[in-house]
Amino acid sequence: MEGVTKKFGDFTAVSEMDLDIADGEFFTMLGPSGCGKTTTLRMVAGFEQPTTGKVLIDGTDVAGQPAYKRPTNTVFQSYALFPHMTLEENVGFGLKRKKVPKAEIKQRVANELERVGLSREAKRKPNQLSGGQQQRVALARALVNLPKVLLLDEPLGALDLKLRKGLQVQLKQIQRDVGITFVYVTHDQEEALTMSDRIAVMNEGRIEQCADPETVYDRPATTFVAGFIGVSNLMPAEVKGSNEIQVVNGPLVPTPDAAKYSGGEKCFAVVRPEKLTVSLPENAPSDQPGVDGIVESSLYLGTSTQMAVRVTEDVMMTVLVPNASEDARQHLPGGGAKVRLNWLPEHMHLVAESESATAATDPTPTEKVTEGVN
Amino acid sequence: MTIRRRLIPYWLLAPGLIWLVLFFVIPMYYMGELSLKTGSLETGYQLTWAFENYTDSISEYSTQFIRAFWYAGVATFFCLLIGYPLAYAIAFKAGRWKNLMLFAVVAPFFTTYLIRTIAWKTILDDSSPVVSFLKTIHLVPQDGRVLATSAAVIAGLTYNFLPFMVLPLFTALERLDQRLLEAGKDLYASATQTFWRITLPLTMPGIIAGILLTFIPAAGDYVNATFLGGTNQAMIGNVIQSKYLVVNDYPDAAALSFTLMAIILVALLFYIKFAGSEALMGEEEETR
Amino acid sequence: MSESNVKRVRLLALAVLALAVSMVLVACGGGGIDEGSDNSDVTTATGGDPQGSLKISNWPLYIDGATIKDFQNDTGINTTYTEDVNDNNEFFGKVQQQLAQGDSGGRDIIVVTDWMAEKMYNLGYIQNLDKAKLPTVEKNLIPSLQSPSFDPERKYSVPWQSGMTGLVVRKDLAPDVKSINDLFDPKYKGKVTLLTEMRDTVPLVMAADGVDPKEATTQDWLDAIDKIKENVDNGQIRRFTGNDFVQDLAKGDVVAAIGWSGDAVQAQSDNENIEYVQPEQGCSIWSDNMLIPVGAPNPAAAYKFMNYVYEPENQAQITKYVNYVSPVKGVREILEKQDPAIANNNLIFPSEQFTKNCFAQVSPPGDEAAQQEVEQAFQDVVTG
Ligand SMILES: Nc1ncnc2c1ncn2[C@@H]1O[C@H](COP(=O)(O)OP(=O)(O)O)[C@@H](O)[C@H]1O
Ligand SMILES: [Mg+2]
Repeated sequence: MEGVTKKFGDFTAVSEMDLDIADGEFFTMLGPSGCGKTTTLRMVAGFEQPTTGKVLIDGTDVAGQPAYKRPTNTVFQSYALFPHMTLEENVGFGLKRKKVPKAEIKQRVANELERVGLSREAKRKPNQLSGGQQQRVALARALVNLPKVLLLDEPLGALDLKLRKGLQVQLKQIQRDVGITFVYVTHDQEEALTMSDRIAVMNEGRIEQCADPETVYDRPATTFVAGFIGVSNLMPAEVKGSNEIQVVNGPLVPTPDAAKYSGGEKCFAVVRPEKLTVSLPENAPSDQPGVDGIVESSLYLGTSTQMAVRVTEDVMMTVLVPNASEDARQHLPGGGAKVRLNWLPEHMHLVAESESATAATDPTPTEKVTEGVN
Repeated sequence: MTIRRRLIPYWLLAPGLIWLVLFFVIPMYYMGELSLKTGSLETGYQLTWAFENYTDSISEYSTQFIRAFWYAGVATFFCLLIGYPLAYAIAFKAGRWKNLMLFAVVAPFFTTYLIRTIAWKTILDDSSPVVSFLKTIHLVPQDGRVLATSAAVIAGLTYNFLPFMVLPLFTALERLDQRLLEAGKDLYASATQTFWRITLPLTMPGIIAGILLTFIPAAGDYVNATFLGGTNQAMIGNVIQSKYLVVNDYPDAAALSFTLMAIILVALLFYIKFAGSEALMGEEEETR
Repeated sequence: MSESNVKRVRLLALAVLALAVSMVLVACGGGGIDEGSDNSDVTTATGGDPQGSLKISNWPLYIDGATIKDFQNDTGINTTYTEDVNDNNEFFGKVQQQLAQGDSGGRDIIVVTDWMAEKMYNLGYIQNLDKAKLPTVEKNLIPSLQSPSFDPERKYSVPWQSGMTGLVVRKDLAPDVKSINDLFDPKYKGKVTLLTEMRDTVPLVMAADGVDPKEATTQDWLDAIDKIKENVDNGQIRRFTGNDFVQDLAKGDVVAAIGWSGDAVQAQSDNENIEYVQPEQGCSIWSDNMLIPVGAPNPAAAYKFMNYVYEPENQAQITKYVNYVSPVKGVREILEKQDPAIANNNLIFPSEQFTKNCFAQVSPPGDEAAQQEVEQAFQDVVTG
């Protein structure tokens, strides 16, 4: 996609989007509801025309090509199975329109139903199936056509957690088997992290970051990404030269990240909750950077304990302490205790303030990240 | 307590059942009995199991029966032909005019059936612009006319029963899941193919309801033939009306009504059994 | 979904049928017609409260706006005047069951045409009148209407208004139509209408062929019906009509019709090309008659009303409005002073000369069953 913008009246649903998805990739678009994921997908599928910009598939501009002529297939958010046809007819629908010989259609439909494990239900109607089964039919109906790109719009959104987990695995497996490019839309960051080769995190019609799951998780590009992917521990900081930052009300910390910013610039320092250690100020390791705070609450989560620590008026930090032993857990500081949080400098990462969150901030860093992608 | 609770569903059914008995079963019984009687107003009517009332009146008025079904069939066909695109436009293209357009469809109901039909006499009279136009495009011969012909009766039936076609069609189309149409397009079906493969089969219940609601009253109608038809264009409804009101031959009138009903019922059952249910299932030719 | 749809459609179909059937049935009625009835024990209408209330059923546009009010003021009788007679047959269908059970539906006076009056009387639905209570009617009824064939002694009927059935033509489009037979001239093919009422249409056709309607046999009737059928089948006759014949004439779709004089007078005031033409072989004269049905609650008030409208001054008021032939003596004299145009209109006050060939409306010979047979033959042509 090149500079794609989509407006509905005055409202900009997708703005200036540049995206390059590789062949055979499992690509995920992640973002909160209403951020323009579906709209983006629909522009690729041909149900919407971009207001400006180009959509290229295999190097050809598909502008003006109607949906039924594009080499894409969609697994719809609501499945959109044809209620008046059997599974077999549903799955064979696309091949029939493409005038594939009957014998071949029969063979491919049977194979596809086999793949999704619904061979026995071939003669049933969609309303006689469970939600998970319908989902698999929708997948089979799209996959059987061997599209260049398969578009999936929150395909697991309507299913319960357990079913979703199982299907995530299956879906990933199938994608590896068929080697088709998947463009997968979801608002569930866990789903995105487990399945994707690459993730584009979207917010208010823009891409905030586009990278592989590890990078997105460990090195979020913006405060928004950091917030959306798991729990955010954001400490306001100021860049001090090319390899050091000053955490507000905290220590001076060396970091190579600072090189991306100019001196005196404001940014945020992020440390993942599980990378923080908590100790009483007197026992704290002196060789690690740290901040002081007061424990507000402590929550037992089974394998770990989640603690909320207030550092300043508006900075809250979350800490995950593994429950190594019953004894260690008993000795954790309780509510109201003064504690120090420490981390290793390499576990700290700088993020720019999100453009959309505070429009005044310099947008350059965000933009850089977007363009830097593939 | 439990017994009372178990009876509740029947109590809820009661009004419907009473309605059915009062307005369907009892009159049906009386009419069935009457249709087998002989006699006259002065002598009274005696039940003589006069099945000849049926055989005679059917053979005597087969022309009007056939004509009624023919006119009603053609009118229903035109209603569908006009009604489907109309309902489609209202459901999908009308935007904020939707309610206004729906209102326009039912607006004729605000005047009496009779007045509406008589208004068509003006629309179709020999010197009306409509007829002049039809003459210039040679659809009607120069010395021909529209009023007092079969065409006028069919036009009147089509006009009068069009709302009965449009409303169920509109409901069916409105209920149609738009995403299914996108799914069709996504699966390489062109707009035409999407219509025939998806829209049409999925709106089949509306089409069937529309056809029934149009055809059944149209087949029994006599108003349009009375006012818009000429001679030799009477429908079976006109015969029943004249038998009942003018000749006071009540048994024959009852026998004819019963026959009309029976024919419609049988045709209906056949229609639903064969055309109807299959179309409903939207059976594609087998994929095998 | 699909299966339940089939069921739903089936249910819908049944419901629709049920509705259709019940409508037909409600229209056709069920009981009440099993008992035969006759007039062997006709009662004479008596009793009632001369100060009570009165209920009249009459045809639309058949009275002016003031007469009823004046009558109420003069007599103190609270009067309900309903225009619910649109068609003799339809009205008969509406009230027949009630009347058969001796219930007039609260009506004290109904107004129907001669033949329908006779039919109702023969079925025992109508009471005889007590002539002693009708002095004004006795005094002022015009001689020509005093002994019609259906009720020679005016035992049970009092004329309301009369009229003629003849030709109504567009004099600009069909100036040469003078006789009923001119309707069958091929140059007017498809531009001619006849009336759906057999007793209006058939006798005129017979008379045109030299048959005296009063002497006509059943065969004469059937021959005339055959002649009509021929002209239906060859497209000569456009359609059969009720009152609506005037609209077809006004538009020019029809150039000549069998029609009623009163409608012609009214239509002429809108379109002067419409004209009543007395057929060369004569017209048919009919009356609509006031009758007291069985079970009428207040005959005393009914008599009062009949006498009231037979006062020439009161009648003149009605005649000015309805433009039919008045059955009351002395009306013309009053109108000559008030409105000479009406007084000199041959359709409202026909001269002897104008009606010299006319005959009182006739029915086919024989009893009700024989008449029905002829009626059926005629209806088979109308609803062919
Ligand atoms: N057809 C449309 N007309 C107007 N606004 C639309 C339309 N489709 C989507 N939008 C708006 O665009 C925004 C993005 O929608 P969408 O792409 O569906 O979000 P997502 O799939 O990420 O939840 C939403 O605010 C939505 O209201
Ligand atoms: Mg969405």
